Amino acid sequence: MNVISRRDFLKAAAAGASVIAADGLTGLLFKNNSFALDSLGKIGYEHEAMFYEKMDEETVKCKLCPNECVLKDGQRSFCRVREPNNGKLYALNYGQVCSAHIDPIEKKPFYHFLPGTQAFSLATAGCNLRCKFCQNWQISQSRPEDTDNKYLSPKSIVDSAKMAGVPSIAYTYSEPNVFYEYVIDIAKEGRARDLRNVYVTGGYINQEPLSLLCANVDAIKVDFKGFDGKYLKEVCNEDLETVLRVLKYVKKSGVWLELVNLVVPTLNDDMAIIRNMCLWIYDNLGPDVPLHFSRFFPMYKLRNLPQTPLETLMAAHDIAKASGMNYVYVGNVETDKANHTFCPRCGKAVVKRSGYFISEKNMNAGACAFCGYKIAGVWS
Amino acid sequence: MPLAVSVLLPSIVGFIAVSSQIIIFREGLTIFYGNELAVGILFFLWFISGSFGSWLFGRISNRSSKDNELILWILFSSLALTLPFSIYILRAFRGWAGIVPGEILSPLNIFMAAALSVFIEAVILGMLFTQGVTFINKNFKGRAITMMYLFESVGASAGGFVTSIFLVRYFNNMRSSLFVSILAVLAALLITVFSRRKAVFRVLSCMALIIFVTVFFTLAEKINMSTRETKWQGIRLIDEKSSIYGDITVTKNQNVYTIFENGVISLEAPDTISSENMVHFAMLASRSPKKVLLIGGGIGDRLVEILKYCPASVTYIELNPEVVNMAEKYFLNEPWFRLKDQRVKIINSDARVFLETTKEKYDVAIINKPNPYTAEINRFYTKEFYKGLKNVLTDDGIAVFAVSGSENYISSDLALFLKAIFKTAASVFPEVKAIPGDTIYFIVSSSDGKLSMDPAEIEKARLEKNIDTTFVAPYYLNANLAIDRVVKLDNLLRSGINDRSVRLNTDLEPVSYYFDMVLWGSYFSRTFSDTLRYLSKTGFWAVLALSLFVLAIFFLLGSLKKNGQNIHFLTSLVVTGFSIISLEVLLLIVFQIFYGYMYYKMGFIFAIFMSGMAIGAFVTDKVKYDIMKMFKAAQLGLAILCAFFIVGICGLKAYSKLLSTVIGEGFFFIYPFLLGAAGGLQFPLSGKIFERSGISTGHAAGTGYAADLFGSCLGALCLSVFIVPLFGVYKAAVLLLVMNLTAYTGLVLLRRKSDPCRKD
Repeated sequence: MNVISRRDFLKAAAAGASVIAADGLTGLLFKNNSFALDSLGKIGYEHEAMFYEKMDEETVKCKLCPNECVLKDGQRSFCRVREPNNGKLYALNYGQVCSAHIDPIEKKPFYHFLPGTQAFSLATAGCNLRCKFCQNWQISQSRPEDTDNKYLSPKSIVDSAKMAGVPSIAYTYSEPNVFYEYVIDIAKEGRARDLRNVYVTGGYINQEPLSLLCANVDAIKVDFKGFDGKYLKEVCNEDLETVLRVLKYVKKSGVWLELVNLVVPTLNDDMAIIRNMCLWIYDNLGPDVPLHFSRFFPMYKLRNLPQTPLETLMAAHDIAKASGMNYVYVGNVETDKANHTFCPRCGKAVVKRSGYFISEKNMNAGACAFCGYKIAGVWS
Repeated sequence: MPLAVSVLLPSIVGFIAVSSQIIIFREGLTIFYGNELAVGILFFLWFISGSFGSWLFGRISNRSSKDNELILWILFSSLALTLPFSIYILRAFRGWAGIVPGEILSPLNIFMAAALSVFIEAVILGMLFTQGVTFINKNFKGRAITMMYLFESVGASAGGFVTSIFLVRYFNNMRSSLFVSILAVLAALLITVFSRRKAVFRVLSCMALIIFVTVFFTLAEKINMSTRETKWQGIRLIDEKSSIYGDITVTKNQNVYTIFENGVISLEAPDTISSENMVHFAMLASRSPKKVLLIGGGIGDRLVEILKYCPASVTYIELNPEVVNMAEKYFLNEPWFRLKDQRVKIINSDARVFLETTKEKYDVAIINKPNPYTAEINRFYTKEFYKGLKNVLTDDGIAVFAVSGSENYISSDLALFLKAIFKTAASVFPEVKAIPGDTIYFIVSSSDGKLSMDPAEIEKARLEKNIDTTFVAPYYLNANLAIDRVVKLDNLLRSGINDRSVRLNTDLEPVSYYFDMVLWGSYFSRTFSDTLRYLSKTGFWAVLALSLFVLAIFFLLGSLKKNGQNIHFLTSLVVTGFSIISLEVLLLIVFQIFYGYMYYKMGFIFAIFMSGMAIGAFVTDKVKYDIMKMFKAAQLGLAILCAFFIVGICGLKAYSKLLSTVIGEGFFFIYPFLLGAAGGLQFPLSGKIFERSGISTGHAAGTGYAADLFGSCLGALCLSVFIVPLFGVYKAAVLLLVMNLTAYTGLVLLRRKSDPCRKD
């Protein structure tokens, strides 16, 4: 039987393609390189969490997200990763990376942030939401004890990303709000070494941690899962007010913001609600925030719900355009028609994409090559 | 009461019992994720509720005959209402439980829905058995239990036949349930005709009859439509069709059709992403894909992708002809519909049978099957299946199949599932590659060195063959087949090859459907999936020892307790109930493996089994012989049948040529008869034994029937859910053999002086 040859693999690894794997050759890679595994990290009361309030000797209230879990010693938070001991709250998943890959940044998706580059992407277990369609439920709906992790210090992560030659680190797959402390530490280390930080979130976070987050990351993609409070509560366990507050703050903070709306058939494909959502975005965040409509596939608990038809996605796209949004996308579908960036002034394609990749770029220093209009985004 | 009524009523009880079981289970499986656990839960609840009903009525069975008639009338009349109501409960449950459209039910939800829908129906049926015995006691003094059992078996046999051959083909479940309701009303009416009670009951029954018949002919479709809309919660239905293989539902949203088989998505069309992935990796890897075999999935746009290669022929195997009929009815004018292409040949057959019988060789085989979530589907993931597949492939043939995956992280439960599948495929094919993603595509090749996971090579082949694609193209492949993802998955899968704890999935040890159940469990609760995973490590000897220990405790208890001999008989009845349903399931599993999924023949096996029961009961009634000896003989007979099963299956497996001869087929028709006869013999005998120990007939019937059903409920839950996948068919039969020998020994050791039949 054919095995991928060691030479091929090391070649790829040397090019930075692989940074974490369960065993074998990758283990060797870890040992042979500067970003060797830290032996420190254990899942336990090792790293104190940020943002909590001590209520009595053995009770704390976590203030990271609006769930605001009140926990007694040894009790696990709703997000499955935080637990108090002796009246101190700990982030048990700090550094416990269970998934890390090098992905095109378009896959997050970010279309207006360093397009055509790759991002070192990582996650730990846990999530403060309960989306029934979660693509990464095996991580997000697990405790750190239940996943296969490698402890990687913030420095190791930054070393890996530098070695891979990518310009950014992406906190993604599960909900990075739940590995907040780790994100902040990596982001600081990364910035000091000229790396950008991009954050992929459901946007369910309290104001104070959000402010600190915005001061440390460069781009945030919010899964704006819907504009219907009942749907958000029933299907994701999230509340609309929080998400709207978070979106407004992120926009105001100047951090680059992109939005993704997963159109789930039957549950949130009501075009009237999508129109209201687009109008809200236009009024509160402005027309330049990129808005991606993405396709639902039968997944996790919603595995008996048919996928989103292309026509529905295109209808949502048209509504968003009609609402005045400048950059509206439908990716990962049969057509690239709504996958390109068009100049809002001259209407010509400034970035053409095929799938996750850039096939044509007509921009000069962040402006349309045809008419000179400045295209919103972070282009270099 | 005329003799004819005493014959007819038990038969109707049997008929309704089997019919309503089939109807409720079919409806249940379209709402649950119909894996073996869901079926096990349904059976468990069905039997345990029946057991409860018969036990309850056994305790309170001494009533005047006038009361008996009234109670029987009430029971039959309520039965008329409960079955359609059960169907309604199943359809409305999702909404009640706050389950959103398209969401799958958790094991707890399944249990609740099953309990709500099954409990009342099965309790009434259990009560009817006991009450029926009391009722016919006048006509069959001293033989009532035997006769009840006999005619109930005859009715059950007829009910199974009528329901599975006619009702499920021509009626939807709601209409079928109304049909059964009419039968229940007729039974109630029959009682009033010969009853000395006031005419008011007769009038009520007549009115009920008129109402049900009117509803059946006028409103049934309306009720069906409105309740099924409740069930589908806003998903737009186009059509629903009941077929012998289950329900097919077509929904449409914009231009996308979705085909559900038994409530689970089987195909979406058009679905370019999965069609491209399913087709092109294999077709591009083939040197010259001229002859293509497509197992399932032919009605959607898979064919569009296949025909891009201009193959000489595509042979499409589809088990259920109704799927093709539905497609031709609704998709004919869709631009992606290719079933009418001259190169496409449709064969309605079980794919396992096709692989065994075809003389053709194929360059590429594309297998569209869901995850192995039942024993039936598991047949497409076993070593024997892969061997058959390899046989029909050319020397450098390629095949592809897909299962659930996860793009960014593979959990331990998923790893367990995937490793077994990979190891099994790799035990047959020299080269197996896996494409990582939320769906994992396994590409297998008959010869080594054919498959490449390098996006550049795949692209080269695509350009050479001049195939136009959207998703199997560099801009996706470079990301999806990034070397770190490919290597990580490959390493994980390969680690199972030399790991002895990773088991091969074979026909007779179908372990993969268990691992799929573990994976499904992990959607809802880690504790649940951890428990299932932990159970999978249980050794066979531990299970054997445990069952021996439990039986020994009961026999010991029976020996120590004064007049405790009935505990011996009840324990034996539990073992018999357990064994009979288990052997019946084992027989059907093996039959499917040897002969394929043959609906009618399997129905026939069930009918033979039920007639065996009737004849067993008949023999008990006719032959005058020492009751105790016969009871023991039946237990020993069951033990011998277990041994016969092992020997028979070993023989047929070793000499598979015998399968197509009279010996092979004969085995599968004689065996269920003998099995039924052993059960039919023992149960009425137990009734006689209890009666002679001084218990009233009704009490004896109720208690015995409860024990029998309790054994059945344990057997139904344990056998196909745990024992067969974890230990295999042979060890399951060994376990049954040992249990029956133990029960027999327990009966032999029963001291003569405490034998209630000593006056014989």
